[in-house]
Amino acid sequence: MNKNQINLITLEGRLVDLTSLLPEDRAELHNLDRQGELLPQMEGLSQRSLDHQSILPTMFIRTKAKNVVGVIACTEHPDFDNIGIVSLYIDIERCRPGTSLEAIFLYINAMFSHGAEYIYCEVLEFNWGMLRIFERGNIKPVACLRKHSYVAGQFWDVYIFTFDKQLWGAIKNIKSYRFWNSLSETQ
Amino acid sequence: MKNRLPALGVNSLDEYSIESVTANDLQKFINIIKDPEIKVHNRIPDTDAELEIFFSRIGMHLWGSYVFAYRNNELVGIIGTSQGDPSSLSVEITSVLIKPNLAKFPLIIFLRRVFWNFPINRIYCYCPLTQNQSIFPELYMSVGFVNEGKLPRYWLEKNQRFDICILGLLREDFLNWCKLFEPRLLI
Repeated sequence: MNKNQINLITLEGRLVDLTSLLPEDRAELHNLDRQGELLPQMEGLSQRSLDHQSILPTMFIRTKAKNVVGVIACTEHPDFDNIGIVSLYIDIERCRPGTSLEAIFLYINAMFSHGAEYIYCEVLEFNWGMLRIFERGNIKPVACLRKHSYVAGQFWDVYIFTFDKQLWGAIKNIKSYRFWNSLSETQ
Repeated sequence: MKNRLPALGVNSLDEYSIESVTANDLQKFINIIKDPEIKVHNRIPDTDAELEIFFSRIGMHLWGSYVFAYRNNELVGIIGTSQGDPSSLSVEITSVLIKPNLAKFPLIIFLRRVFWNFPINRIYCYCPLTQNQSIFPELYMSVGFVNEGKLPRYWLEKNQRFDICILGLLREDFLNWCKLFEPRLLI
């Protein structure tokens, strides 16, 4: 993976833009993380570190009116080389339908174009928002880790989704994703 | 007050036994790892310097422990657990086998020792499906592990990519296995 620090990036979409965090954004990030840690699908307490170098910086998800509605980030898998893990928090009360999907498409496209070989996502069994996003593209989990996460007082299964650049290209051409596919072509 | 006594610890069963790896066992440990005929499940380094560091940390990790496995006085291999995850009460297992065909019972004694000693809910492993390591999924599944899926082409060895099989064993899986096949090990 290319570990050169990428400082300032803006990824433009139709519904939202993704912008790299600036030092003055830390307070806003802190607020988002405090909201996110109350959601079970975010697995409780936030342990975000902005100091590590990764393939892409942590980015805010902003509406076209520049309001911050979420944050998307990646880290490298601790056990395997060249595998990027994507995490997303979005305040769905403050954004239009399709915002999460567009943010994911923009970010993952950029990860692959910056050298990621594989993308790895863990989704808790009750995170229906994310599961539906994958289901719409007929993307099946490659594994189900039984009772692998302790959230909200009990153990839950964790689904693993993973794709390389080739599979991602096929996913983008699926009919239900065509809107975002045409978007990615303009990037 | 409970009117039953807790189960005793078990370090041996019939002709099989396990024995903790101690600080004095470094050379024996290195000799086993270095033997080219040995089947090594991942997570154990192979250079002397890395091995020394690895060995010095044995027992320092949460729920981490390594044992020598024997049939009578014949060494079968080394089995161990790496760093546990306190938030999900899980731990990863790894093994180095001299006699894979004799490893089943030492392995189940070791699993019993882990579940007996630690408040762990789940033991899991990532098994790269390389030619040298293809025995491990079958071995682990013979003592109750469940195949939870596959990470396609995640393992890189000698410029070749291999799938990784994910196996998991919940405490209830272990107890059910014991009920069915070896009630002497029930906790």
